[in-house]
Amino acid sequence: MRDAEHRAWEVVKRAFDERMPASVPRRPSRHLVAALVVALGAVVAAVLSPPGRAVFHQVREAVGVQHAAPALFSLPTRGRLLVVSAAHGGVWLVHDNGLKRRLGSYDDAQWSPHGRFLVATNASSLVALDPRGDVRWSLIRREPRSPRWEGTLTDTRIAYISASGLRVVAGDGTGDKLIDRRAKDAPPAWDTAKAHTLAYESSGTVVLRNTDTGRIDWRAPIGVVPSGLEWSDDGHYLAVVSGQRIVVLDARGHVRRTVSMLGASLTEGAFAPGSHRFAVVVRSGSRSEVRVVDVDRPGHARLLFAGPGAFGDIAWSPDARWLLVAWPTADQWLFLHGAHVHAVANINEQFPRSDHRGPRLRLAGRWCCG
Amino acid sequence: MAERAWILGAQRGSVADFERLFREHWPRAYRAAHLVTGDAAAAEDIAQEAFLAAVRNLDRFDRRRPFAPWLHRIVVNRAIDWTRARKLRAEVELGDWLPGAPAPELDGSALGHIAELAPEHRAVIVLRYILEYTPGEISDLLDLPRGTVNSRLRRGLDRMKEQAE
Repeated sequence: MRDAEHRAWEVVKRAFDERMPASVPRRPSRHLVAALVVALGAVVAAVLSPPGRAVFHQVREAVGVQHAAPALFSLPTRGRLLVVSAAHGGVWLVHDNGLKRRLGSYDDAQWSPHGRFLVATNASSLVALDPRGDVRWSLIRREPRSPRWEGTLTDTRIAYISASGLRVVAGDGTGDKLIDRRAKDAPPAWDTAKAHTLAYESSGTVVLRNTDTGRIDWRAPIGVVPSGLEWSDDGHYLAVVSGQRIVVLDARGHVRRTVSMLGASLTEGAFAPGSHRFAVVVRSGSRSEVRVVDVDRPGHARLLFAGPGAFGDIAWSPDARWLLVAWPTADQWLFLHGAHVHAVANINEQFPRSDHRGPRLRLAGRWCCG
Repeated sequence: MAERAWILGAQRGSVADFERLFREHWPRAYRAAHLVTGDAAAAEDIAQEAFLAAVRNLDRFDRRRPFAPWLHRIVVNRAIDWTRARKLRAEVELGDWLPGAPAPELDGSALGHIAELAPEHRAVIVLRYILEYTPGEISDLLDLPRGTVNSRLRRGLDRMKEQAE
């Protein structure tokens, strides 16, 4: 029991150390009010904090970063980005030189492990494509969604959720089988350290299972339905994003850290490639923030950017230098790198929907292969 | 009085005060979870999760109220949920190869039979005879009518007595 107490204290102490204080609305100073009047402004506080020193980045009339590029002329670093317009049947492939190709009418899409192919879904099919959009194979299934592809160059698996539950199929479209009929909510996540081993949520428990053998490595009761599961590149940590908190499990399914903020929702999270830095989107009232925590170093969460309204998906660049943040309220994307912000405006026009409403674009985990 | 000071200190950010609170309450929280679940790993997770809930709710905690009932309410309810879920899994997932849970290490011959009880009966027995809450307090902790608590205590004790004979 002393061991259990010791382990638990380590976890609980970390949670205590990284408790974020509740957001306290601040009254604007007279100087700031004057600045806002001069600038005809509502506010965007782009709070860039290397070592924590906030800089008010932009103030202008409309919400958003001033001097944003009018279009996505290029990505700031090498790689290719999949952009999915959720529930409206559009998937685009954006190259680092700005070249953009619409791949077809799909509801979701993800890369294969080495970026040579894609897996996409529509209402009745799971489809493997090449980056030109040509279909390699398809599988008829009811309401497939949340596909995730893993493996080596020669041996891969695709996990996806369908009306019947969580299923897995080989990368060549063969051997499709049901894994767990109760796993129907959160997208699954392949263990990056173990072949064909999948983490998924089933009845309030995170399960780690080898999908070839059926063997369950562990179960971690979490009591909530997570919105996302994210492995670190080395498979040491699995982050469970569940709205009010993010629980970081270690490779044995034990809780290592929790991240929470009183009165706030944690809407998105993503490990930076090759590290244990974890970016998280925090929504509190009418304001959103992007923070980065280092799972190995308990302490303060570093604030990268803050602004009014809602932030959407986030995606790290393959070289981990840039973090892309969708900002639907401002109709902008932000590329964040340390204190540097590169903003792109008019996102709705560039990824249009047939009903001309603003898109809810999915980007998470879709910036691939630098 | 010391506990109130610890809670106040923890609310102001004192790790030392929060650790005193943790050390004071961990043993009984863990033991309660262990007795209800019969599984050491689950007990560790459940007790730990209860303290994580305490961290999350620390700023809103009313210092005039005792800490233990609040913590034990979380522990026992989650332990019941875990035990029910395990029973359900055992029925529907025969293909799972999860290693078996270690046998609970119980002291006292009567308590050795607690694992045979239904989770609801285990919970009230643990709260009454291990954590020493009154039936009225158990009624509040578990949101149960007082009569239900009494009947569960009676049935639980009867069942344990039968097994001991």
